[in-house]
Amino acid sequence: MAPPMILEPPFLDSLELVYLMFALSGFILGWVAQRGNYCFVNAMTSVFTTKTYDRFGGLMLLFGLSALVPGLLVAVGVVPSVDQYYFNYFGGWYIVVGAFIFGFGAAIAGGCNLSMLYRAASGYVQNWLELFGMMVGTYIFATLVWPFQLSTMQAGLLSTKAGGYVEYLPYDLFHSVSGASVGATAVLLGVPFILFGVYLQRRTQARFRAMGSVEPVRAAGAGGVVVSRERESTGHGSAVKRAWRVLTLKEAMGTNLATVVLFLDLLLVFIVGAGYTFNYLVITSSDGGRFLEYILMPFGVNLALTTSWYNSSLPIVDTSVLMVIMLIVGAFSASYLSGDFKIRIPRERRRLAIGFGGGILVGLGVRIALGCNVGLMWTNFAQLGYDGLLFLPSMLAGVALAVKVQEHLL
Amino acid sequence: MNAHRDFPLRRMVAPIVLILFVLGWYRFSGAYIQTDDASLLAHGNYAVYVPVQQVSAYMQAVTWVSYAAVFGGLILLWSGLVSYVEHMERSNHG
Amino acid sequence: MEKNLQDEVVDLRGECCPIPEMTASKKLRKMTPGQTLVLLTDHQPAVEVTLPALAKTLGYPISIQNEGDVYRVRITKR
Repeated sequence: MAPPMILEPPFLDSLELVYLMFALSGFILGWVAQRGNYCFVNAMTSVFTTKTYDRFGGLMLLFGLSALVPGLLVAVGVVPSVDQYYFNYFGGWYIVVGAFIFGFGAAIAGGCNLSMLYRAASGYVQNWLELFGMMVGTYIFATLVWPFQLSTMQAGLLSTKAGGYVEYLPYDLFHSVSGASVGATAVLLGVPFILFGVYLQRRTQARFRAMGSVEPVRAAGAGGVVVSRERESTGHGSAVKRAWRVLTLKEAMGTNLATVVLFLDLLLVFIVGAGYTFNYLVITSSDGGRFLEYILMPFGVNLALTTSWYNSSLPIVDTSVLMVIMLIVGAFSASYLSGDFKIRIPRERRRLAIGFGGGILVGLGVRIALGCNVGLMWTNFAQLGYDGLLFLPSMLAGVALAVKVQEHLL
Repeated sequence: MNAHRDFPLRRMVAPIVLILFVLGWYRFSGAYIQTDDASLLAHGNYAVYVPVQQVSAYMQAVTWVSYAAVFGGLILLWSGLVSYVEHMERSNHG
Repeated sequence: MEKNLQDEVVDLRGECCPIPEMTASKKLRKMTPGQTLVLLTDHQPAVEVTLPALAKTLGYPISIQNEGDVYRVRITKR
């Protein structure tokens, strides 16, 4: 017998509070991503450009924690399992193809959806153009690609015909959504990613130690502010000093600290949104999809009435709208208060065109894949689905190709 | 004169842009999202229509967030103005 | 000899990842040992993470100077 598909809110009984918590989540997401220079694409390009794996290891840690802890919360009954699998995606060919296009476009344009937004909020004009390109790419998808993709999804051509528990790993592995099966799956999925992440980071550090690599010499110039972190001696005092510098925005957040805070942010919405809405982090349905709808509304154009995909797959408003707006506000605040905010225009003007073109590919790719690195890849680990496992290598392949193309363009 | 040019004016302009952005968002939500949602219901597009309680909850949350963001923006603007005045005083006194 | 050891200056203001590290990597490959690459950038992640990581990977010394709105990053090829 199939498990139930009726959402069960476990805690809050106020929709306003749910929206507020998503707004808070967005603010934290923007702030931490900006302070931590957290970029999924940069973590992947580093693998190919500087041959360093610590940032990619941070991503693996993030995915592992995101699979393990929500899964254990469901396993012990804090959150009903239906609230974990209810919104699982229809898996299929489009995840692989879309993730590849997205990875390529994001690396070319200069940022994934998260970094695009926080850099745009920090004043990077190239990322503003990437955002507009994304809206255009989404429109192209809606008019040219979606009808075909929908037909393959409905007919089950190289895809499943339903999301939910069909895409739920505990159900796929154990044919059960009991606490034990969910807990076992959370451990099976989460722990290897955590260990892999730790291994990559330690391997990178060990390689630097073996090479006798020199730490950067940082000097205060006219600006009078010493850039970021020196390697300090270990000890409680230096850790406290470092924590204070991070809190007072004199220093960027380290990758692992940002990873933990972002994971806690995901956990926040997983718990408070359970039973009400898509209780995960989602960005692109708002910034790529709805924002174009909203921009055209004052001109009397209503995409939700006239255009495919917009008129069937995108509710006019949801919690992600407020989340994305507050992400921008949070990133701007962090950037402004740390003194990093500045309007930045690339010296090579063609970068702006590349940013816009890359943004179109980003919009196309995320819609084909049914989501981006945050809303599908990262989120799907917390959903204990397998679409994230399809998305990750495909995005990595797209990024690898983009690095090769960038090297020729330079 | 040079001291005036040396101070990054973005420290004062950026909070104003933030405040205008948030206010604009609040006004847009009130003016368009609610009416558009009603229009979707009138056209029978239930796939993307959002129940009235949810839109009301969204508007309430937007109102609270807008208050917080505008006050926050005003604080940032104030701190920018203070920095500017301090900068000018330091420059005038050499 | 002296001409070969002149600093090479690249202005990367306004650029974001992965351009700073890819540009640096490409330039360093073509430079002679002893030469210094000077990058002007205002991209925090490049200064915090990617350029130091590149220098560490290659084993080249790197110094970073904050000059207000821009960072001057010097990497000397060994």
